[in-house]
Amino acid sequence: MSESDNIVVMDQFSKNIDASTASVVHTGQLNVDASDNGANSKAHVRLAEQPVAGLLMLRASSEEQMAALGAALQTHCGVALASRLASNTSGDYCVRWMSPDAWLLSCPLSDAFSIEQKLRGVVSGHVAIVQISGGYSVFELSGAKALEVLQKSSGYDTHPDNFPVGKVVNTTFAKAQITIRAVQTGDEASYELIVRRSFSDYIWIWLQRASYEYGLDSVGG
Amino acid sequence: MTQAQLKIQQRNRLTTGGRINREKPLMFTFAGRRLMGYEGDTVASALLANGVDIVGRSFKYGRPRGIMTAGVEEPNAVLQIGGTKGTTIPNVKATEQMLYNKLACRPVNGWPSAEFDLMGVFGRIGGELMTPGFYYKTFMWPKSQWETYEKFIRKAAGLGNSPEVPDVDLYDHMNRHADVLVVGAGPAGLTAALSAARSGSRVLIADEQHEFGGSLLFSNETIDGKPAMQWVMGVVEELRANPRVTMLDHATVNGYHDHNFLTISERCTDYLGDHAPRGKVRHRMHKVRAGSVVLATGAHERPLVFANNDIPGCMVASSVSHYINRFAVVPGERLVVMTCNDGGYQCALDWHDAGRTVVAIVDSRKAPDGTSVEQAAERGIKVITGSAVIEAQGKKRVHAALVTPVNAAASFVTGDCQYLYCDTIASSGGWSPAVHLSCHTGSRPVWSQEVLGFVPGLTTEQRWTAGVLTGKVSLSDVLSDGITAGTDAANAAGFTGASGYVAPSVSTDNQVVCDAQEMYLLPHTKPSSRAPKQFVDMQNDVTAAGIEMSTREGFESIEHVKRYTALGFGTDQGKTGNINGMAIVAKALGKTIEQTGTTVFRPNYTPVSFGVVAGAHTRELFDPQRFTAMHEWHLKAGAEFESVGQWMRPWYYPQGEETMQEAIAREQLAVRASVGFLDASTLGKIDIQGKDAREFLGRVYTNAWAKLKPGFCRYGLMCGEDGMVMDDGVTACLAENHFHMTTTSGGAARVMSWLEIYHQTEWPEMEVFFNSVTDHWATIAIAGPNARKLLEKLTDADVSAENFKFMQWIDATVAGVPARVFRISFTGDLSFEVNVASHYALAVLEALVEAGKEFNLTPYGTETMHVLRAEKGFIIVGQDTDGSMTPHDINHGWAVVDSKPFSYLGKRGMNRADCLRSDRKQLVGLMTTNPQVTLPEGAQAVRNPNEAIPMTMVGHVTSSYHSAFLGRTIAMGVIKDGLNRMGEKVYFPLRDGTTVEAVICSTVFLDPDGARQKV
Repeated sequence: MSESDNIVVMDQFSKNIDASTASVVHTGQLNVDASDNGANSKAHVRLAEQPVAGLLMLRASSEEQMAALGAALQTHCGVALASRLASNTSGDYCVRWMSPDAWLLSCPLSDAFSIEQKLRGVVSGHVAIVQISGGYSVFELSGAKALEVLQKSSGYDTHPDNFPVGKVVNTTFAKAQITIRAVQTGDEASYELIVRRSFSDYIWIWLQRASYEYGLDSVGG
Repeated sequence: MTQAQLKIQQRNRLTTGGRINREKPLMFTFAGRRLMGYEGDTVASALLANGVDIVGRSFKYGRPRGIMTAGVEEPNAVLQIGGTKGTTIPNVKATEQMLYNKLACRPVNGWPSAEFDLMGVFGRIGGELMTPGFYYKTFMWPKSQWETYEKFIRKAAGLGNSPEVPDVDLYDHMNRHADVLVVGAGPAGLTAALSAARSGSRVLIADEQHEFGGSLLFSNETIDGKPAMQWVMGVVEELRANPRVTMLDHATVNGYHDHNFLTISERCTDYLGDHAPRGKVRHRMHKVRAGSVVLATGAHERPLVFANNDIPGCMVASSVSHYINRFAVVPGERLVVMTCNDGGYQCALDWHDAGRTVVAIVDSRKAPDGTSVEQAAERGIKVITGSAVIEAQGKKRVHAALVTPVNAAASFVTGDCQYLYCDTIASSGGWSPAVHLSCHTGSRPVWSQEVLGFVPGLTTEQRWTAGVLTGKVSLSDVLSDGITAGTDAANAAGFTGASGYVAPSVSTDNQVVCDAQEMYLLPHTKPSSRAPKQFVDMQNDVTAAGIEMSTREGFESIEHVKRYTALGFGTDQGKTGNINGMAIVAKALGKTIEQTGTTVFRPNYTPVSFGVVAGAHTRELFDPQRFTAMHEWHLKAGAEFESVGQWMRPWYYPQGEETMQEAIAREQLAVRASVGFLDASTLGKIDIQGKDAREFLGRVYTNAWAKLKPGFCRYGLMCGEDGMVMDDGVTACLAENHFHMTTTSGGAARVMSWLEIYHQTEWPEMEVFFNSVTDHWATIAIAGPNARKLLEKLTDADVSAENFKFMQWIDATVAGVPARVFRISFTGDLSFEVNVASHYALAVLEALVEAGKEFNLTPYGTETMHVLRAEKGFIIVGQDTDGSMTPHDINHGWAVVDSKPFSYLGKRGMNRADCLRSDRKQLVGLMTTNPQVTLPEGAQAVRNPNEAIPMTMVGHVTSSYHSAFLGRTIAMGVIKDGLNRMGEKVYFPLRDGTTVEAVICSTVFLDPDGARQKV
């Protein structure tokens, strides 16, 4: 445990247990097998569960604190603080704008503690950094029909006109909430879906159901 | 019957023409009868091809009814479709349903059959007595018998059967966004879509038909010198090639909601079969958010109202052309046309050209002239002017039309009748623009005397209208209107490039048109009340006489007339009858149609399936199920689950053949005797950071937080502004500016919002951030006398009684995983709550279970948790409270500190005079005199069991269990003035007539000094 600003920073990483291979999805099978859709021999949607990532929620509301946070991010992760509805990516690091005073930084799980310490070493005052690595699961939805699957799930306009590569949106997804980032658009479209961990099964099953008519390949679950 | 024989049965089928594929015959059955049609047919066109006259019986009088139109406005041809129980569909319009092979259909009414119908007999005998409001007036007495009458009436007059087994199909929703949404793919819609698409905008065009083209599907006109449908194909090709255009067919735009949000019901596979092919979605709801909307919804032709105008063979004029030109079906041998405008002539021309007999065109106008009249003359068709068909005759099919001369206004008969022998009477009263969608957002339609119809009114939406909908008549006007609307709509959506689209030339450009006459109800030699029935609304058997009578009975508002007569209440929503009905009301009241106005148009434009409304939100996807990180372990352990909020929590873990009671008794005793564990991950958890965090807690909780030191935890009680308990939980001080709050499982989101609302709107100056960590931390509660021994096996941390006291927390490595351990208790026993990042939870749990074997470590679920906490009198917010209880009411005054410098939320509310009454319901313990009787939760308490009913109720039971450890039942409840009545008896009269006696006592049934949890 280390303390700065009278805040507890805890190293939550375990060297003893490999969390990267464990699936977040427990029950996730639709009552029809989406991969076995006779109508579509070729899968037009792919769904993959990503290994557990380090996730840090960064909060700041004053211009000054944001500038400090941005500078620290640039120094330690090589990414600038993302502007409204945007994301910045560099190597293993990706920072996503979540709301006017919140950003979600992803990093390797084992780095979460050291990055939190480094950031806290630079910024102080009215900021907050919270590790939430266990709170979310990350799915990759891709393929020629991935956009249609998103359209079935969310009222947000995810057409490339409005949702180009790099854009991030927090929105409703079926009856849950989700963070979507456009990784690639077009025929080989790919989207990152960040889901509240406890909703993972619900979303996973929903995605199977939504993909059913297009044919689905899924990894994990 | 062989295929050749079935082919010959299609006696009304022409050998050439039409948009049907004669190479693809389709077999189907109607009321058990085997028939044949072709690919491209609707069920209606196939029935007409086979000479099927009667497709159902009328709702009220049981009169035989035939197909009257060719579109969604059809009132009569409503069928039950589908081959199996799981795929049966009631009330499908034969005019909307495409034919597929092996389609099975039957009339929805007619009992025992449509050919011989009992209600028909009833209708003929009692018909004169069945006035508007007949059911209200007749069957409401005696009132107790209504349910009996209703069963009979429904059986005799109902519309279809609902399916009895779950639907086999998949349904779905899809969100769409478009710069320009075009509704309708007729000539105006197509040019609108093309011009909008050429400007670069994202276009969505939807049409209800099997093919794009609208009225051009059955038009003889040429565009750019080519048959109209060739031009359509060219436009469709260009639209299809454009990746920014989405085209939906079989897709009815059913609702126009505020802010250009429209809903489309797409019948994706209904043309293929009674259920979707494997892997396909049957119906899909498109929820469209559009920048601009172009409505090109066209118009519905109005039939004229005359006596017996419901006999099969009476049709709307344009639908006759539709059947001839699109389906190569002439729906009869001898035609009489009744018209008051040029439009009616076209069907006579088409009928004649198909080689069948046109007996006469009866035109109410004195001296019609112009191109249509000339074309009739060229073919030698007899035109009877200044006259009207006043009555149809025939039983199951028209056999004659009664024609008389009429005055110039066609309001009364001026001469003798002549009989024209015929089997079909096609009538045209002009066109009613399909204004429905334009009205959904509250815009009222406007009467146009020029159009003789209602046209769309003003709107606040970014909306354009085009084509026949606006009253345009000629094809060239319609085409250029679409271009203008499409271009303007795209411009408004930000696409300002000119499309450069010039309207094509049309064969009817030089047509000379004769003015139409305004005409709704044709006269008769007798007044409406004495003439044979003149039907206005076929589906609900509403007659001109009935409407006139309702006005005499005092129903003057069109909305009242509608509800009294049922005008426009059918599944067709009065698309053919409403305007005629309004005209009759207007005339009866001496008003204009404009003054009478229309009823309100609401979504949906046509009926939609329940499936398409539900979409994929069914079965396991109806409501999200949330799982903890340890769910897999619970599944393996055979847990039964209960839904708490949306969380699926282990309820209890039955072993072998154990009953629930046996299982929870075992779990309770194991915890009290040694140690058990509970998955407590579902508790809401909020990380609070900032220099004002402590002060913020003091304001939202009723108790004090100023002195809570780092390393310590405290129970907190949260109230709404009204002073009523809304949530509770333990909050730990992690560091001076850092707290870890827990909430109830079901209240987590509400509390998070509550904190944010107060921070963002009331106290934005406070430096504090809230972050949900509910899903991040998985929590295992270890409880029981051996809890410490178990924990010591898994950690090197000092968890001794001296160094890790009750209501403290520490960081520790548990089973090799960094953990935050809280020494708090919801059981009254020694207890530790171990929190680890969720991705490690399963591994830690497995290590714990292994280490716990020597202590008989027992998993327990929420049911045991409830009993254990009740033994200690710990409340559950939402069970022991119901939003009307202050902390004082639940005897938690100790958790209220009024001396805080800033006050706190709920202080003022709980100090209102009413909240300070001493006789409010207060939370107390209840001990039944018979220790083995369990009070039902919710049971009402009385002080005097012998009081006469209605008894004075003084409270109710909130929690009640059998405690295995105490060997008796325990309960909590709220009793008026209960805290001052310890030791008094209260009584619970139950539904079964017995009365349970109980003594008011403390809520703490076990270990009042807390010795067990402080060891």
